[in-house]
Amino acid sequence: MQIEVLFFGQLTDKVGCHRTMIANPGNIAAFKEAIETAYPLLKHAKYMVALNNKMVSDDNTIQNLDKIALMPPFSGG
Amino acid sequence: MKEFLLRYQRQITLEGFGIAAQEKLANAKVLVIGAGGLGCPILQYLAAAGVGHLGIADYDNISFSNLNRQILFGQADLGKSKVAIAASKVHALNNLVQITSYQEQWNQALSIAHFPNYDIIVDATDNFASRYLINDGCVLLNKPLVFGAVSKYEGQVAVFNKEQHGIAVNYRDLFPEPPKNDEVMNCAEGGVLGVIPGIIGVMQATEVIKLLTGVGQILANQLVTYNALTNDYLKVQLIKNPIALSTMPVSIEAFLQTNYEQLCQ
Repeated sequence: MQIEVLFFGQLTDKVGCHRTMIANPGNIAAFKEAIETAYPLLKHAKYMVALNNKMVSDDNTIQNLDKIALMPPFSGG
Repeated sequence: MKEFLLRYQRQITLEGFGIAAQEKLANAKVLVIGAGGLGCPILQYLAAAGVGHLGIADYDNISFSNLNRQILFGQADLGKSKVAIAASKVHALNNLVQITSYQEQWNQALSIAHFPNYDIIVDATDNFASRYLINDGCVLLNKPLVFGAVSKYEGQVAVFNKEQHGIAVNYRDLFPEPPKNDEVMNCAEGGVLGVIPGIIGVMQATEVIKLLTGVGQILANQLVTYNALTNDYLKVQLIKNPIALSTMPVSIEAFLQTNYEQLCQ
């Protein structure tokens, strides 16, 4: 089953899209590995992971049809 | 008193607001650090709303490339001090508002000296060194922080260091360490649509008014991201991050010794 991944801010420049679908890797740690393999430029980026609109830590499990958002820090003002 | 009632009539009339909330604004002191794209609308709306005392901090002068978004400034102000022009515009808008100006690059010593005199600190700066410095100062000195930041067509807003349901998230919980200088483009490099700091700044001013008056639900422990291109508005619930404890200065002494510019290089 697939999960939806949304990219925010300048992460969209690194991955070339706002949104993608990937196979459910099971938990957040495995998700980070999978998404950074698919988009290697993310390895050197700082981002916070939100699962269904809640910030999560690496051990959180992912259910099918969940939505993940990758949110980078913004500096401008 | 008659002027007070007339000037603020539209918000005093609001259900759930009234004289009581208006008097809370009049008795409040808010420090806005950064008088740029975010700071201009924040200062304008807080002054118009009747916040009694505004601190304005910025070290910079007004340049041509500021004018697409820094709406307190006009062509006649080019080269002049942002703080001086912002203070005069705010005074012209509402002379009931007391103003304290700080024409300085904000630093730890200024935070320690002045944060205790304010009810709320507003981060309207444009760089990570200042953002981490202000965040850490607010945590160590126990002040609520209304955070806003922009990037190209997007912006973020949050209320940090304000306890709700037993926890108070701060910026370090989201991003324990600052990105390096070349990792995230600033507005000069990446650009910013002029209305974005307007929208985000007005949202920050709104959170300040809600915090001061107790009206509505504040964005404590939450981060809002707005994207003007897609009209997406995403509100994320935040949690404490144990890693943040190891990256924060643990004391005022450690805070004073932290080189924030170097952390971001």
